[in-house]
Amino acid sequence: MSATGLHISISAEPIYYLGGFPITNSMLTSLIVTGFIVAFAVVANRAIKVTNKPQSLQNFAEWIVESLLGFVGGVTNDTNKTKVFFPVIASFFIFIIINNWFGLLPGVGTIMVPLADQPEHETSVTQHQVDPEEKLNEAADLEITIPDANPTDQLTVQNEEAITALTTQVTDNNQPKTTAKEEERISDSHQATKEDQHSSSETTLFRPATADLNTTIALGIISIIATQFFGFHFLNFGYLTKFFNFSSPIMFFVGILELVSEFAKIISFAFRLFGNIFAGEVLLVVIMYLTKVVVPVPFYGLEVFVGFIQALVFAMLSVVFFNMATQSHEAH
Amino acid sequence: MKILFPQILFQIINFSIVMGALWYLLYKPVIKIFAARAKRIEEGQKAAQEAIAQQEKIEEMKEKAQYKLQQKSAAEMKKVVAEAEKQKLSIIAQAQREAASEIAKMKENWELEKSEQARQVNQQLIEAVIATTQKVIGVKLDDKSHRQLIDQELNTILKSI
Repeated sequence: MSATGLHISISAEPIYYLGGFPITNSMLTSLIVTGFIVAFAVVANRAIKVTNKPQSLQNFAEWIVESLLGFVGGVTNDTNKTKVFFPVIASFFIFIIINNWFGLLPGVGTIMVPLADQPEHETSVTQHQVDPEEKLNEAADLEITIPDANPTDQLTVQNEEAITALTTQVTDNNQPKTTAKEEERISDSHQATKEDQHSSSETTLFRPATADLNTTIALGIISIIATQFFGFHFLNFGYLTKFFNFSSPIMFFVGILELVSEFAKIISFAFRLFGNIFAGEVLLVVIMYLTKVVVPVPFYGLEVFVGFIQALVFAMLSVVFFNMATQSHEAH
Repeated sequence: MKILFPQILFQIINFSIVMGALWYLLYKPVIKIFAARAKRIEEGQKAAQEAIAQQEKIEEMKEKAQYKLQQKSAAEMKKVVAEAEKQKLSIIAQAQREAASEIAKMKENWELEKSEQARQVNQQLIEAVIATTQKVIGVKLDDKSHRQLIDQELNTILKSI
């Protein structure tokens, strides 16, 4: 929510271009979270001593590590596997939960900054190559900006207007002849688009990294790569029989399905986490926009819970996949 | 919704940094502490088990010693009781012997005393009879002859008693 209105964007937005590479708000948040985790690890590392009476920070660090060790050990029931899986699973859990909860901090999603402009040489290229139909599709995408005045009415009206205007523009390009009425409509729609451009020229400074599909895909990819790594680590090349089994036509087909399911897991991981966290963000923004101070509080509580559950689900599924990958196909 | 490979790569690298930092700065030292603590606990448990085993051993030895002592003391007691019984019997026998000799002595003394008393009574009777007879008959009796006569008579009387 900005000073001018409600701002919801399904994808992370660039706030700065570093030599043509866009630094999005979710990347910035992710970097801050990483910095926080690393700082905590450094401070905890200094506080850790071999003692029978650990102090508060060491207690906290030990509690986290012990709980997550127990969590992984509960699934694997194997000390060796627990030792190997633990760093990845614990890091998943800590990284995701802190990112999820970071989105609930005051200032995240409310501090607005101007959208970064693409470097000029790229901008000029894109301006010349812009396809009107693509522009229409972009307008239909879920990027919504609602000015403060009469928000509920203008949400639909302005989008409809924008789409209509762009449709007209597309039609315009294809059909050069225009009537006076259409010209007037085009002029109005141009005005509306300019207003939209003005209000959508801002974006949030911070966006939870887990509310960005690129992050969740990255986490999913790491989880699946780790699954394959652990499969090879524990079963060597016997792990491949899971995918390439020529003992019978049915098993061959099952192997193909297994192979496909490995890729499907990335999508499943990515969209589950992204969907839950992004939906939570949207819910909070809309509730805060529509109501007063007290009403969003239960939703905040709900989001705290959802943030924890999603981190737990991601970690749990990862450890289950790791464990399944390390069991021989015959054992199944 | 844009899926951008550079951003995915950035997040992968970012997460790898987090994982590496957590592994070297947090998990490894804490797990090391857990291992050290577990080792200490294990050693403590081992020492406790050893102490318990030693205590059990001592307890067993104590019981054995107690049993031995009890057996020894029982045998000793038996011996002592037998000795005491023996001593009791000998003491009783000695006491009986002493009592018997005492009784015999006392009887002898009594007999002696009795005979002495009898002799004295006899003497007094003789003297009384002689005196009486001298007064009755008015003759001074020869002590020797009359004494013999009286003795005979008195002996006859005493025997009849």
